[in-house]
Amino acid sequence: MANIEKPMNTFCGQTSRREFLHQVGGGFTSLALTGMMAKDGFLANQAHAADGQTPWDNPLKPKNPPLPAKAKHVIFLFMYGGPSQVDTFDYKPKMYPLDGKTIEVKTFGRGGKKNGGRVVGPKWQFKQYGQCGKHVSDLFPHLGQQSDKIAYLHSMTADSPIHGSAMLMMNSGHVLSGKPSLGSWVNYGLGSENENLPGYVVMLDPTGGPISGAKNWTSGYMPAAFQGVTVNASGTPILDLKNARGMSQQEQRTMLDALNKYNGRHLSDRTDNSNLSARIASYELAYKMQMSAPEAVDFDQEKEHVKALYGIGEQRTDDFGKKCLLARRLVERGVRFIQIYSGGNHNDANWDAHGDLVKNHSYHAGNTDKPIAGLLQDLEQRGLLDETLIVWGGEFGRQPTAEYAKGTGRDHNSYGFTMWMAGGGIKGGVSVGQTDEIGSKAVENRFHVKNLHATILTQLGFDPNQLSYFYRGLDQRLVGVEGAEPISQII
Amino acid sequence: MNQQLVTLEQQKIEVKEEFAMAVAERGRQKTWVLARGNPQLQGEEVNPSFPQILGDPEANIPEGYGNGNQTTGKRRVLAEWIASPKNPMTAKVMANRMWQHHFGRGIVRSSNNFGFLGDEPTHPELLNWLAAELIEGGWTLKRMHKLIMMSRTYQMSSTGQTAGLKADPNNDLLWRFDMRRLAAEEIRDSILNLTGQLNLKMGGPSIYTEIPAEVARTASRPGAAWGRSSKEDAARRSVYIFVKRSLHEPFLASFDWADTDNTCDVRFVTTVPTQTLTMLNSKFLNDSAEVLATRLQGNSQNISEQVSRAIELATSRPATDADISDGVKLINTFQQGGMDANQALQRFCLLVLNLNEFVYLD
Repeated sequence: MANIEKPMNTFCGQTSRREFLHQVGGGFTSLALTGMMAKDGFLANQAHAADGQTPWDNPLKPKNPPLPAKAKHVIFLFMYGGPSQVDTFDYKPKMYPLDGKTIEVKTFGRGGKKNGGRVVGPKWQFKQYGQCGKHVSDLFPHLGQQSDKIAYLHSMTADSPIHGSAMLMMNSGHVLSGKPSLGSWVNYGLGSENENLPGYVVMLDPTGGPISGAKNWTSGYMPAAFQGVTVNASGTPILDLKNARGMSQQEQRTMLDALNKYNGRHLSDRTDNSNLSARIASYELAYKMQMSAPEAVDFDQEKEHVKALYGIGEQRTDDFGKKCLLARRLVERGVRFIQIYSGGNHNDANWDAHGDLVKNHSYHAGNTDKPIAGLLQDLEQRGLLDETLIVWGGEFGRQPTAEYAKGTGRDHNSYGFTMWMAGGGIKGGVSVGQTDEIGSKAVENRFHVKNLHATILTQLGFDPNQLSYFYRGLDQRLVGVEGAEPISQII
Repeated sequence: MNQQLVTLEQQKIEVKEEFAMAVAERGRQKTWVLARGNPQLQGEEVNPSFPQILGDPEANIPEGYGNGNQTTGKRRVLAEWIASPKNPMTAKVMANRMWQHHFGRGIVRSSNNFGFLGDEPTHPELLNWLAAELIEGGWTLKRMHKLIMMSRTYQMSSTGQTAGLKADPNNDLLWRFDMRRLAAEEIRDSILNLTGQLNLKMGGPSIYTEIPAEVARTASRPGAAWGRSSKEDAARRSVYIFVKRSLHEPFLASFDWADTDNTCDVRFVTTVPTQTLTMLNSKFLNDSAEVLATRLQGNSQNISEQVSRAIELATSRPATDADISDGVKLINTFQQGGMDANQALQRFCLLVLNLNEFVYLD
């Protein structure tokens, strides 16, 4: 039966979005999803596959945000394990003389709730940097020099002082698993400017993923197309990108052409099924991806002084430097959301300094200080910092007191910690919020993780309290149905 | 003596304890409505009962159902009510789910929601009849599968008709079979079946497929996150694959496998290029193409017969002349380019596994 008329799409033509979702019981295809967005005036032009004929509804096709946007991309530098605020960016001069003294202070970490303990004074000296005169610890000699670009948030709070739930909180706004992660929301709202690359890229530490692995970049109840894709900064960037068993590009083309013939015959009497043509088109898109994605990780074109800026070639900073450089290259190629993990696995393989604080933080800061400073400078020099929002931080901070009778280790602290943002319309050289004199808890301008998420969405051109996804009878939001306001002081 | 010890060690039977989560009750305690949610404001006493809309709300707990401090018997009464022939919902919900998995959508499309906010059944009498059949047939699912699959509706072609497409484009009335992409598990099982590797062994502990190192590395304990199964076990049906919430089996995950954190009534069916990369370049697909080639070579040494057999196996229909000539042409082109006969056939087998006709059900 050739030349069958295409059915009217009754979903979008006749029913409201909410009714439509009820009709299909909450489950729908990506094709229907994009159709739905088109109705909302959300979509740009219709994409075509590489053969120029077959329409393909890309769930990640670029969309314009509803409001004016300052940022088009996000690079989230995740310091997994929880860096200590008083040893990094939250300068507490009155804490040094307290070192070793037992004080009363309420803390809550993996060791439970405590009412006091032995103070561990800051283990590094602080210097003032830039025009803003920001105090930054000696852990970050390179990053300190970039302080005029940075807005420091000293009064962050989170719901959980335990890694697993706190990671989910920072990544998805909720301590329980099953919610889409921040990058999924960004891709859902904005799509990706480059269909040859994933719109949401995650780069992991060489020691492994963070606790709960893929849950941290899941798309939760959204379709899998919005989930993060782990990408390697060297070798083959994406899983199964490279042809197997020595198949050459030409052989692959020959095979795909033959496959198209078979699929074309199959389609000829099923023309009313657009899913079939979408799948045919996906082979051409994958082919294009294979041609262009490896170029993104090819650093040969980069000048030596640029690589040096990121610390590439130096033993300590080579790995993280390559990831930061790749992040910049991905931003240039239109990737929306990039998350780079400093630290992986468990214990001292990340910033989780329970034992020897000096050893732990010296190691992780030393691996990342120069690459991050390099990234900020390189983005600025290329005019990309204005449209790229940088977020730095862990899932929580650390306590002022020692965890054990001996040693410098600090337990987790979600009552107060420091994060910073830069670029993407964020003010530079400012510090907002305060913890108490020993950094134990946020006392002024307390901000929740949700405020951070709201700020990110705002900079990308969304009203954080409007960007929603209908699921389980509710317009779900990253900031929760209760909503959250962005941090206006730094915008 | 030592020798004896070694022998005895080998004979030792490992006793494994299996644990399951359960609820424990501490005697029969009274429950009250707490006014405005305030635990201090004790209101009316509440006794167990069933939703009125489903019939008799009485939930009497017969003497002897409870057992001192161990259990009140409430759960037994609930279980009996759920599985009672007098309760229509259980059978309806189950029959609807079975229908959904055969037809791609339930008679009630919102299969997790039969309530006020859910969808109306498109065929209410059919659903009632199926539910009654399920109960009368002694709740055996196999009988129900057979009943559904022997029906004319199930055996209808998916071919469109101008009149039908105009009158009922959503196919609400089931005037044709809705063509559907196979679910993640079905794709993997079909590949294993096509190559002749599928191991139909039932039951027992979960199995682990071979996963790429890149995926294993995403775990916070990269070496410890995923186990290893023998080749035979790894070729068992996908329902036996170990489900780990923090590390999803990559092949299944690629094809819209259900998220492990939320209940999933209807899965997404997405088409994205990364699926294509999996289908062309993953080790599983290329290993499968290799096994399929060996299977075909075992049947015949003649290229056109091999092509014809591959198409038959993948599509459950005889190969057409065009199918055969295109396949033979591809293999010849590869061979003329210097590829050996075996590898050329494997490339063709990879193509067969990528056919839309193989992945979509008519």
